[in-house]
Amino acid sequence: MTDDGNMEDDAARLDRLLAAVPAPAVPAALERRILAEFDRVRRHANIDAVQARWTFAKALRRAADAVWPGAPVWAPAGAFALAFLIGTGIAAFAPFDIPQTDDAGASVFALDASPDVDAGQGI
Amino acid sequence: MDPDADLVLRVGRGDRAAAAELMARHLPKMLALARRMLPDPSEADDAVQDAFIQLWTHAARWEPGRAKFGTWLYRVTLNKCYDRLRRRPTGRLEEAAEVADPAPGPDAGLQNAALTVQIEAALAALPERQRAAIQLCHYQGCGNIEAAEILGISVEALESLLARGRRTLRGRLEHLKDEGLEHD
Repeated sequence: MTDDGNMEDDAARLDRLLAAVPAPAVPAALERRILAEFDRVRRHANIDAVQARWTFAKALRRAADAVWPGAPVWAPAGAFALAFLIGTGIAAFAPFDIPQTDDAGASVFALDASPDVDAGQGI
Repeated sequence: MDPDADLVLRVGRGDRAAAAELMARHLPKMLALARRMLPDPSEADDAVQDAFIQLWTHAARWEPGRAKFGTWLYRVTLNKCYDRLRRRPTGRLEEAAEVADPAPGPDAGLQNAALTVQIEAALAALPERQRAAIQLCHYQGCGNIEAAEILGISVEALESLLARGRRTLRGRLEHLKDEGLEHD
């Protein structure tokens, strides 16, 4: 038999030997432990979400305290809303058509007019 | 399409039934891999459990299409095994390789058991990368490309590891050649 033939035989024998090793059985206790870990991780995820909400509430509380120390959150929020409404009302109803005064037109002259025109500066 | 993608997404949303199904699908192979990488079965169980904890924790952030889920999971399992091997005192690995060398008894069942123990001992004595390559290609049914991806090496490097591992195993199991196998 050739060397190549021997090597192939050896490889086939090794494959058979490796295949002879049975796969280990999965212990039921391990399955239970892994699923218990799933429950634990999910519970923690829920707690983290609740804590994140609480963190937002705390940040809001701190901001309100900075604006109006000691007051309940609705007080600075209400003051802000009232100021916003007043500002919006003024912007909506205040008159913007400011009439021109009569002498405004007197200073209008042509820039290319002859130099003998008195531009009102007594030159 | 990744056959596990839908299950992983459901696990990410907290679906326990999906978690159980995903576990049933992958646990036997993960356990086989870990048990052959780590000589202590309870340590192998812990490594697999750690890999699942990582899965449960990261499932919500899993992006389908980025990597095949099975490949990622076996890679995590293998890394958990490596972590534990690094923490072990080196002497224990040698002990593990020496544990199994009982003389084959007259009974065929016992003979097969002894044979299994000898093969497992020979596998356990391989350097860890060669052992991982043999495990993935012989026992996990991974193709060379997938096994290389799990090990984080090139296909050529994997083939080299496999060749060296097989050569070492052939040498160590030389004496079993003529014993024959009940499975044949």
